[in-house]
Amino acid sequence: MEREVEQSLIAKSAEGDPSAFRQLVESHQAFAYGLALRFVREPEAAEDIVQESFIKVWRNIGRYDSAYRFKTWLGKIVTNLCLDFVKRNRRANVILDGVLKVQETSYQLDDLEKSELKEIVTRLADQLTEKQKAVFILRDLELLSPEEVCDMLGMSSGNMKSNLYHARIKIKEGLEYYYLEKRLTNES
Amino acid sequence: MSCQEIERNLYLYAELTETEKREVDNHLTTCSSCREVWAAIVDSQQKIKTVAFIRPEPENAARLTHKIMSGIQQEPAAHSWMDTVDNLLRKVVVRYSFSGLSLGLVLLFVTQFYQGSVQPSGETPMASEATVTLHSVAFKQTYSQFKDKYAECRSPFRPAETYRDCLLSKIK
Repeated sequence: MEREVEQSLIAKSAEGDPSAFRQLVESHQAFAYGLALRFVREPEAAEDIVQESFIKVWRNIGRYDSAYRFKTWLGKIVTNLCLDFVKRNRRANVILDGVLKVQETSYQLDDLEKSELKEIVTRLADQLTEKQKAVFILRDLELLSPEEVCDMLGMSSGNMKSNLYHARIKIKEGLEYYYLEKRLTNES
Repeated sequence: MSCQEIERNLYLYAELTETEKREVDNHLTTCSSCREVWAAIVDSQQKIKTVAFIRPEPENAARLTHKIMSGIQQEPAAHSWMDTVDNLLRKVVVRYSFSGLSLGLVLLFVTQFYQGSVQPSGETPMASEATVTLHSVAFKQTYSQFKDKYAECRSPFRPAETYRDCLLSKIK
């Protein structure tokens, strides 16, 4: 969505126009859902978080600062709600196992490998600290710019880099260990 | 730069400045152990990128939109006149205007104060019975005269009635 169109929709939403807000929802809900699911790993919980995030956006849209991208602002709200959810439920990784296995059966071989990789990266991300996980998801999985990550998490550039560095080391080591173990199992 | 510092920068290669990247690149051309570390980092980064491109999608996007919009419709009227005022006050131009106005009022007060129009003048006539304006300087003068003149009426050992009678007799 072009920035001008987006700004116009935001202005109309701030005046209480639900149809303008609906267009904002339709263009950004995929981003919000993807981000939420990477954090919480439960589709239903991710949907609830997305709904709550958009309700917060609706309530506060008059306070939106056009100096920031709408996506950054929405991402910040989604991230905060996800972090709250993760704090409350630290058992998320147990719940999704079944869901992923069901999905895997419908993939071709290549997709199976991708799905396996996705699962292991998600599991490794769950072992990171809260800040490392947030930075890793936003920067390496959502591919947001370093500035956007800092804005969303209210972090300095140095703090963000430090968390990202430790997150990348842990993920890399975890992946190496997983694939080494898998190779040894296949060989034996 | 040492290999240890280079290794840290290898993990944050995408976040480095162009100058820092050049420094790392130059180091890699001469250091085989750092090149090995770099190869492993690139491998893991590629794996992570594969995961990044698998975008989780909601099972039913239309249903999710409907869920969000129905949640919004249940919200109380969020855009009342108070929100409009609140939004207006949050605008930078309005904030600066109010700050300017406040500063102006403070300056006006300070100027008037030092010119004497705010400070009470001792030459102002005594308040009459019909006047309720408190005039601090006049009050102080009258009180000091009164204090000396009626000093003998005051005593901690006399009851209030005696003090009142003494004052009345002096006034008469």
